[in-house]
Amino acid sequence: MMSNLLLFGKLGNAIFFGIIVVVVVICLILLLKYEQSRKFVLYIVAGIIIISGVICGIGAYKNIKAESYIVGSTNVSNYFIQESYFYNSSSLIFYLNDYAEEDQVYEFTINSVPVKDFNGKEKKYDTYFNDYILFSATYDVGIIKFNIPFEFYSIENELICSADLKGSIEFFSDKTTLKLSVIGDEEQQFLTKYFDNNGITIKVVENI
Amino acid sequence: MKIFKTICNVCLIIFVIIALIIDGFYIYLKFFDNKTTTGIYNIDDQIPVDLVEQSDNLTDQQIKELEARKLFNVQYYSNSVDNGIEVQELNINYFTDWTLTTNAVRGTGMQYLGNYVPYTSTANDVDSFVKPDFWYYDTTNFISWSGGKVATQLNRDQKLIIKIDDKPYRIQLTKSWTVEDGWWIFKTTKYYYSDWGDVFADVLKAVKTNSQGYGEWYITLDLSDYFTIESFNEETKKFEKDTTTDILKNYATIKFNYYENGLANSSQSLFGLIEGDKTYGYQSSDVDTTYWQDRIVYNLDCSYFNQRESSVYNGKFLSVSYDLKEIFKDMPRNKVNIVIDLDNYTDIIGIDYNGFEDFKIDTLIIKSSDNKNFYLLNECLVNTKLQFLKRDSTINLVFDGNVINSEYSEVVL
Repeated sequence: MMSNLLLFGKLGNAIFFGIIVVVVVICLILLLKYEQSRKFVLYIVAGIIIISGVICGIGAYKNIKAESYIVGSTNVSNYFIQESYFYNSSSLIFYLNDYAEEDQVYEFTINSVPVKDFNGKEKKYDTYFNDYILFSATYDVGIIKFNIPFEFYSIENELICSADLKGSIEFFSDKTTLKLSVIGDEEQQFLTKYFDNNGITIKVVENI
Repeated sequence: MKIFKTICNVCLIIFVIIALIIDGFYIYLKFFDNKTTTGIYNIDDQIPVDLVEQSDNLTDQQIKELEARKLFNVQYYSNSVDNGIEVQELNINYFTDWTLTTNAVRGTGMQYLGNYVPYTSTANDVDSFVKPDFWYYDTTNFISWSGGKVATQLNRDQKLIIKIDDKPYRIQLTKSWTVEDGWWIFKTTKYYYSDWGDVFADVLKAVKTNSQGYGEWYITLDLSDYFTIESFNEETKKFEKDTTTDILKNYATIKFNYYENGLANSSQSLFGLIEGDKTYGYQSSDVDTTYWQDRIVYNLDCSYFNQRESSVYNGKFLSVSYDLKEIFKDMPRNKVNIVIDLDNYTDIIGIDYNGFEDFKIDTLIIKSSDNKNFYLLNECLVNTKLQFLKRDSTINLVFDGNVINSEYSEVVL
């Protein structure tokens, strides 16, 4: 943003301060002509010097006492690597994959920070989807795959849509990738509605 | 009287001499002393200090939102694959007073449709000037946002209280610079003042140039040029600027979501609104997605259950463990189907006494390619609310006692 304030420039400033200096000097000369006013000027000058001494003293004290300091910290390790996988969002939108072999494949992909020491072969994990444990999740060295069958019911308790949400969590050295996919336009619309209503939380917890 | 006057004058002279020495010392410190001091402020999370105590009064969503608070949370749908619209959003998290409590949390959002390019505007009152290119939103509860004229319009006057090390600090956008034009006494000076649009553009630029690419990441930004920071004096209850330290820096961790896709509808916005419209992007569809209840289906096989060897029946009986029952009790909207495939589990001969009692089952399927008896021992299906029992025609069900206390449909496959 630019201010319209265009002063007179250097010339204007010089004239302004020049006038002030001239006025002050004339006043002092006039005052010095008389004995009483000379004393008065001296006291004023002494007062100004003492006040400036106090101000400078405070400033000098602060300067001497001043030390470099650091306030707060950023626990960087938590931001660039996580102990266990966690993803949370209040909604989720699927995008049509135009390049998929099957028709009407809708996908969602998101990368996040890498997970420390994931090894699906040597360690045991539990995967949670919105507080549901995914018993059918399969674990390999660097990947978790799962399939979540959904059923949606009408107010008459009739099944109106079934949708299979397929997912994977891939653990790379520099990122973790969550992929979710569903086949069918109607299925993705119901799942989108589900995520609008419930959000999504996926977490992977080591089962010690 | 004369002696007193003389003493006063001598004192005055002494004071003047001392003052001159101090003045000189100060001038020396200010201009000739090479000692340089640096103050660094690391701005991290903006979680209210009483979140744990207040957690019972907050919803899970509120707790999640409050735990994720950074000074800036950014979301950028770049629309690189041309499947939506390009949207840039910046959520500024701060407090309304120095208590830093849950009641004082506040979020203000800036939203721009497209790729915002900063520009210089002319305004007479630079401090109250609000960049008109953005939609502004406010929230106090982190569930609902509202926009329009009543939302906080971010300008240079705004002083935002933030938290560092659980203590209150205050930041204000103060960046300004001058550009001189002309020569000697004919030189003119133009004064430039940054606005929140400049902050927005620089933060988004940092997101776009991050080394990790698309995804959900964190970066630390040097905001020293933009913001002046003040600490809170507990005694005076006022915010004070550090005027002694030579170099003051402030760094802030920001959280961002950078998407390759475009934004499809308002639910993807940080604020649940696009240009103040919560229905943005929702098109009327042939599919009516209104539903009463969703259920997640669990198809369990014999491996999920306990097996008890019976010498009397010469085989194994299934039962559900207490732990598994408890797990399913915590997952209320589930639908459990159990498939017992006797071709794979040849030694299974039935369900144990009280085996599946109190374990809600929708469908029980028993399969075998050979003719076999399948024993249902006393009360094994009590309180299961079983809907369907499906079995191959080769399976002969043997009921031993009062097996079930609800109606179900039996289907021969």
